[in-house]
Amino acid sequence: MTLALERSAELIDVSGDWLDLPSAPTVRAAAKAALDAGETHYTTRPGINPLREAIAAKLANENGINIDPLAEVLVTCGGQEALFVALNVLLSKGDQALLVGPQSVRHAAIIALAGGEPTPVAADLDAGLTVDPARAAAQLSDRARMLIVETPSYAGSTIDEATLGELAKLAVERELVVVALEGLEPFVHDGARHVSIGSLPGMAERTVTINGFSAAYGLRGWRVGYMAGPRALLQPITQLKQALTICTTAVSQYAALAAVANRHEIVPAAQRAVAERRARALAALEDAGISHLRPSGGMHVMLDARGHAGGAAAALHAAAEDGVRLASGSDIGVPDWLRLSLTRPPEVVEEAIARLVRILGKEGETHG
Amino acid sequence: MVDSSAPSVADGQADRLKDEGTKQRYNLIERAETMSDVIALGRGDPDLPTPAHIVEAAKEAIDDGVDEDSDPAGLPELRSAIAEKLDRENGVKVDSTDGVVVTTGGQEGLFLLVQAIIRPGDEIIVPDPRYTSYDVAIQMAGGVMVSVPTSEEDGFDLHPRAVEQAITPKTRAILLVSPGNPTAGTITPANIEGIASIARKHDLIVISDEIYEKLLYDGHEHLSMGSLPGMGDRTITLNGFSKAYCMTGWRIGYLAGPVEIMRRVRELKALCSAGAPTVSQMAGLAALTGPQDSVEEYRSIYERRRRIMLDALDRMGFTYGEPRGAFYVWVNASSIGMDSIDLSYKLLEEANVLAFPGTGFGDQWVDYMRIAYLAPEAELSEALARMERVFAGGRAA
Repeated sequence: MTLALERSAELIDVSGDWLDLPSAPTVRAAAKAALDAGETHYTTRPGINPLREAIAAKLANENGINIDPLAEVLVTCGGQEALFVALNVLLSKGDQALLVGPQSVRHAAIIALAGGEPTPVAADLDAGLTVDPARAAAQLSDRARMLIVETPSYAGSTIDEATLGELAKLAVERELVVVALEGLEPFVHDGARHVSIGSLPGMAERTVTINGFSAAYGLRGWRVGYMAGPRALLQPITQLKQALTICTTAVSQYAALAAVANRHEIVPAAQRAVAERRARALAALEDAGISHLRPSGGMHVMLDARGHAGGAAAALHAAAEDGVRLASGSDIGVPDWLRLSLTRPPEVVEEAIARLVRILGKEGETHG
Repeated sequence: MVDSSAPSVADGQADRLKDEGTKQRYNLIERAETMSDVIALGRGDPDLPTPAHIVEAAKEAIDDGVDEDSDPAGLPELRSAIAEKLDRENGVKVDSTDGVVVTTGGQEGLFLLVQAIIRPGDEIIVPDPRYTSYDVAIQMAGGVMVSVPTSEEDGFDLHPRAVEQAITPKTRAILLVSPGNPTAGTITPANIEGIASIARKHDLIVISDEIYEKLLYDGHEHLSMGSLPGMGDRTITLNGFSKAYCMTGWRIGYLAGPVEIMRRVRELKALCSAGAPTVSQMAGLAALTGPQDSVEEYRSIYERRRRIMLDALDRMGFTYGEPRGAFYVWVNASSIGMDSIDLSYKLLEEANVLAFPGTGFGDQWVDYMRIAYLAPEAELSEALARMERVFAGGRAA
């Protein structure tokens, strides 16, 4: 639908959440080989063993998360299904779940569907969308059950190790479950490094880490992701997953297996693409005088629409009239801002920025 | 070391996830996986391959780079093909854009639909025995399952009068599975019409699970509830590709029905798992729009196996409801004089044959076994011979 719109109106779409890179040839070959081998049946419900073993090894080597591959990893139909089943099992009616940092409004919708009470913990815009653990602590109710921590975010922000440490302490003190969303893990900028909250002291027994193959591996349409965590939590979550989709699509699991195996080629290519787009976008935004936040991670740049007469909604509409489709900040709880996606080729992003000068360009200074 | 402060899942949540039937079935599967030389007649996963032209279409789609995710409701061309199929084959008319949602398997479809229509305390009428994997969907929505009995003598048909007796002011929906799992019975067209008139009279939604529609024997007929007068706006048809095209591993199915309900289902699908896998959707499109020869070819393979199985069961002196469809036989094993769960383990341990206990499909079915004829004829015959040997030694006086 997006592509059709773009053709008909010559609209440049820089609103997406997914990188435009295709799946790797090695991954496609593995998927086709699996089909030729007759892998068209149900698989073991939590996922094929080699994939769960490869995921466990990746988590141990790269994330400092040590889990039992066959009892503590669940392969899901994308990170979305992982989040859906985790929240629906872990939250009881009336339980409070804190959304730490900018997160999709879909997360609050899933919490509400599960009977929980979503509580967004606002990020500090003047400090580059950072999260204040003290603010999170102050917002906990007596029904506090869960912290949902997403880093990097779809707002281009990250949560640094010190802050994650404070959040981890809070989780231990208040006996909270932590759901860590790490799908944008490969994209951290300016020399920073990604830290998994599940690897911090006291976190192993209370953290469910969700990741997948959509963002960095070009497999978004294949619907394959995973979740890892202590078996006391994973086992009941697996029951709901079984009730929902029985198992994850067999061919997608084999594609994911090849993706993990070849990640040292696949992921750096995606990282280079995002880094180049980010550098060129930031330069173009500076030149254009468009006020923005310098992203510390992820694949988006937040554009300041507070100066626009009529507010962000009007700015979004005006941008579309000038041929640029942006994502709204309110989709991730940052109203008054717009999101520029770095998921398209750099020249497309630059052209989009050039078209935005009339609406968002001003002699303002950049933040962050 | 387990810290006492480590989070666990609340008791109430564990209750909503409770599904004793599925647990029994999978415990058996897991036990069988540790053994060698087991002939699996348990899980409803066809042993036959996905037809070659469907696999080829998927491989072409992979070469073409179908990496993008689809709309949560599915690829528009697949939704159109589904609407056309329902019109052409079933006489069911739905909006090809907003009246269809492609799901990640039929089971997800049932889950989403139940969350969309059932509020806490609502009752949903379900024939007994049942496919218990649907229980969790109802429990998660806070719905209450109300069982309607069916029986062996008429092939586990569902009678309108029995359905009507189960209706209360809280009844919201009726769930039909025809041809059925586990019984392999069908709801005869006359009874479908009778149930339709009850649904109209009491203003109920009907969920019509037609996943086994292509697998019918001995001239038995399928009638789609949604095709009947006044039923289009209250029936949601659940179907998929797993059984007709041997596509269980692709995880692809669909729901079709009135736009107001399907819009809500689409919203839930976006939250639950987003669009179904694109490669699987392309395979589904090939299944619907490509040659249909494989459907009859596979059905006739099942028909031959069914004959082999029924002949053997007759020789062994078992009774069963007439298996008019699907690929199961719901066998009355009461003459063995053993609880069905014990009998399943006995068969597994002594005959190396995996079959499911009746209690995997409802607590009261201690005398029944579900045997799936999803093995090649030679293997099936071997399994039946082994069973015959075990029963020859073990039948109660």
